[in-house]
Amino acid sequence: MNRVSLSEDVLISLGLQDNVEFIRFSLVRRVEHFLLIISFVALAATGLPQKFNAADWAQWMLTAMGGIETTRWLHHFFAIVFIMEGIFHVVYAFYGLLRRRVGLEMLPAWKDVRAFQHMALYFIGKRQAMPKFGRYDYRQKFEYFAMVWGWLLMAATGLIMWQPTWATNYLPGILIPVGKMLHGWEAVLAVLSIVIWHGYHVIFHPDVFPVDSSIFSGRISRMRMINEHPLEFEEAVGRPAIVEGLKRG
Amino acid sequence: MKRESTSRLNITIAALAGAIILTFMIARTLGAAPPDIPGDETCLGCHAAKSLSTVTDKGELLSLYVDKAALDGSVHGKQVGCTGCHSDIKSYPHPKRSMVDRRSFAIESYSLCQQCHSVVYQKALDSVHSQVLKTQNQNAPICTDCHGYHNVVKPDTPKTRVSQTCANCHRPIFDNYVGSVHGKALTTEDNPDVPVCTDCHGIHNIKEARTASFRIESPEVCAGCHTNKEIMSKYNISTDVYQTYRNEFHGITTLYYKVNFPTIWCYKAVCTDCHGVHDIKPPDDPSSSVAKANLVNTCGKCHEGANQSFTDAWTGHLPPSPEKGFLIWAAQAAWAWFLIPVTVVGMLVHIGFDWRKARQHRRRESEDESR
Repeated sequence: MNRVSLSEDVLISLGLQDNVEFIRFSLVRRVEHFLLIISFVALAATGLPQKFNAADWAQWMLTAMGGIETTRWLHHFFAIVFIMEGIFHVVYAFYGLLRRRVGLEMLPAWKDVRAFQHMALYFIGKRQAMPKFGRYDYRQKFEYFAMVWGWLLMAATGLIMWQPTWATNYLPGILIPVGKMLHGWEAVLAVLSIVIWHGYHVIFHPDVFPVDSSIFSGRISRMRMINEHPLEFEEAVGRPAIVEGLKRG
Repeated sequence: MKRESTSRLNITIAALAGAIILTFMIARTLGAAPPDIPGDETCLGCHAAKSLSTVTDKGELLSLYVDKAALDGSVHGKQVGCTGCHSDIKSYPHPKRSMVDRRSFAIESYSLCQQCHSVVYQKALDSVHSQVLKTQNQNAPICTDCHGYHNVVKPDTPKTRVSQTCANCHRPIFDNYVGSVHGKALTTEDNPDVPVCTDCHGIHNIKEARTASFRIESPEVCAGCHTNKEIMSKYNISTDVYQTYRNEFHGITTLYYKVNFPTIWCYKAVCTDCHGVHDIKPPDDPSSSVAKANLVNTCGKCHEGANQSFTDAWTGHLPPSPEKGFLIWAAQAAWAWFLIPVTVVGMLVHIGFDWRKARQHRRRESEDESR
């Protein structure tokens, strides 16, 4: 990881002492993330025992949650939370765009492919420093759009299974078993992705361990801002950061 | 010399002791036996007469005639004499017995069977018939109602005999069953593979079939034959029917109840809810409740508003394959064999490299600081 920074006296002259923090997430985003945690965990906990119901642990969990009908009811309840949160997110994003509160930094761009190439070369020692990232790096965008994709697929297949007689008024019936298959396996993929990818980057990564708390506090330290989001930092401060990464290739 | 005489003495003593014991045993056996057990000829001296009868307290005529030919042709035949069963009658005139009416006389008498058949007799006491007999209705069957008495023959030879025996009381169900794929094969070809009443309901400890637990266990009853490759291959019937049921919503719910709450009534469909109970037809029979044309009705019993498209969701107990249910198979293949492994491996590789670089970086940083 390269370190990008302004020299300390310049930072201080800009009013950016060592203990200064940047706002990274607004309250709305933090609440959104909280709703996602609750609904995602609850959906996984009530859904996976249904998929793997033949196993003893699954039967135990189903009973612990009040029986299979109650488990399904809970699953549907948290599905509504999950779906509503997704709808709110999209509506709020468009509102933010109209009001010019948020930009389009989240959208995938060519620079993400370049950054990935750069990162791959860095991994195998062909580059001395990591690519410089803006507000969101390609790892975060990958996860965000995996979430968007998962939301669309799970909501669509889930609603079909929830109301099959209604759904088959408009759709061919084969989509019910197909949807069930997709729903179950996409759930496995989603849980694995969250545990492996999200778990690593916000918990087990050496720079954030034991937890990256910025999604809860809404803040990010000056140091992490400089290290992880140098382009955003430069834009915020209005001065190019000095790359001193060579020292730490 | 001395040793030899000792051993001879031992043999003598043992032989003497043996003789004494044997004598006692014989004497005891002879002494215990009544001196004059009447032979069958003695009994038949009177009971071969067709007119021999008595009158119960309620004034019913109770025939005491024994058909010798039927008795000789029965499984007991000549091996079990009259007193083998009628062990309470040892002399003439017979001990006085109460005879309120014919039925109560029969009920009082059937416990004689347990003298030899104690295991099945005990099992029968657990049956729904026995419970009904004790609590509600004297017409509930006892041993002799199904097996006969003097004319007892093998109950399952030919196999149709079993179902016909049950039909004596359960006539409407039998008529229903005779029209089913099982009943037809039984009555027209005497097919030994198809279930008769007792194959599903049990033999002596026949359970009440309308309980939650009978219902929740019933898929396993069907699976008993329908997962048997040897039997099913003869009729070209898939043995995946049970597992495919267990993999879908109805089967998941009923399994949960079966494992955790077998006595609570579970409304989710078991085999018989779609296929019928006694009148099960093959799915390619147009009158079958699971024939394609009848599915809207059958599904509609529970799924109000089910239409043709809804019934297409049912893939006919076939595990998804490239030939049948291609989309389902493709969805499974795409995720389980491609998307998930590729994503997980990709993430792990990225994380592995990242972790290594971060550690290297940390080490160098701490070296810098210590310098």
